[in-house]
Amino acid sequence: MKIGMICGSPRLKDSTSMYLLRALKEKLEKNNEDGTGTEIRICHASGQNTAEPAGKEVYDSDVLILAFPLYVDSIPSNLLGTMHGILNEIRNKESAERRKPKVYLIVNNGFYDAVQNSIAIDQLWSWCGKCGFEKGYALAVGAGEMAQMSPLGHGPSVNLGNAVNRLAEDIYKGTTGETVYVEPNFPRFLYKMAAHSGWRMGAKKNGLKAAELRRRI
Amino acid sequence: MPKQLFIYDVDDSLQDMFTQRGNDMLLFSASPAVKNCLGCFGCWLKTPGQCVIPDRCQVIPSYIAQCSEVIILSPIFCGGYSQKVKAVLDRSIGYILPYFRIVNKEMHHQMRYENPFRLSVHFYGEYDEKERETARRLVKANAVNLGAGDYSVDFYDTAEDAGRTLL
Repeated sequence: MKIGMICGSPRLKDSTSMYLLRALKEKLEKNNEDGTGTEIRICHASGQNTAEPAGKEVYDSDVLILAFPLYVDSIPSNLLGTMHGILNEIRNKESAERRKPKVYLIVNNGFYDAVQNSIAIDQLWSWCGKCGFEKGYALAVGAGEMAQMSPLGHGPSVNLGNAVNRLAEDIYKGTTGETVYVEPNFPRFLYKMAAHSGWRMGAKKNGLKAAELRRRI
Repeated sequence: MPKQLFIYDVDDSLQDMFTQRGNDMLLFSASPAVKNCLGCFGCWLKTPGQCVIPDRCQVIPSYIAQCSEVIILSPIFCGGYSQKVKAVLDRSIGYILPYFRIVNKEMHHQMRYENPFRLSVHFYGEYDEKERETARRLVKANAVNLGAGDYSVDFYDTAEDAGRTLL
């Protein structure tokens, strides 16, 4: 099985999307220890309104996994550029020249509520339909900023770890279904307090007072 | 504060139709595309209220702050904005604060400016009923997150059709 992964985060390092893709890749490789020849490749969405380098992952994969953060309630513009590019290429490509992968999504947002990812997920399914791809299912992750604070399956990331494990199993089974919504094992009011504390510390690191974060131009 | 901000993405051949608009409106063409957001949070933590990428898109948060209406004209793509319009919106989050608040039982951002502007979004191009519904949900969510007082969503077959209605 060939599995292509596209990271749609504009951050080139330390992104939650790439962290979750790498964790999923590890699970998929572990689940495939009997060695049936699974090949997994990860690339970044370039944001240059072109299919490359993601096109290769798409056209030559049995399974495609897209992971990205929610930006302004929707898909970040760099990933939209890649989606445009792939769709344009597909419209000009002979069907025989490519596979039609089954698609799984991992969408995370900075808000606590995982349900806020649902609009972006519907947009992605619309794109999959236009591309002629098969729908798998989506993992909607709330409080994505917390994902890397503890190992998956531990502390606030128990739910997320379980969801990633299940996704790794479902990809091999070819499971399709409704969106799975995951929020941290951590109360929302504490997440809000921790985030506010984090912003204030971020200001200090940049030589700003907390009150300056509220500056009006 | 009667000003309107008009963010639009149309073919080059139609640029004149929109740029001939009078001075009562702040115009911002999403084409040529502005750089994509880097996800660095610099607009919240380094230069609060303004994107750190030094290009023409830096003005957008201050433009929104001085307008009573923000009008967006965009090709519809999979139930949402075009890549060019979305790049402008992604670069505009300096308009809001990083801090959270709860609205309608959901977490959203606090406002940097108290300016309940009207958000009017006009999509053009091909879409199906599902994409139309997704686009409506998207604009409604944008209105909540940007602190808009009111919003509307309209659909047109072409940019010319939209232009004739809007201008």
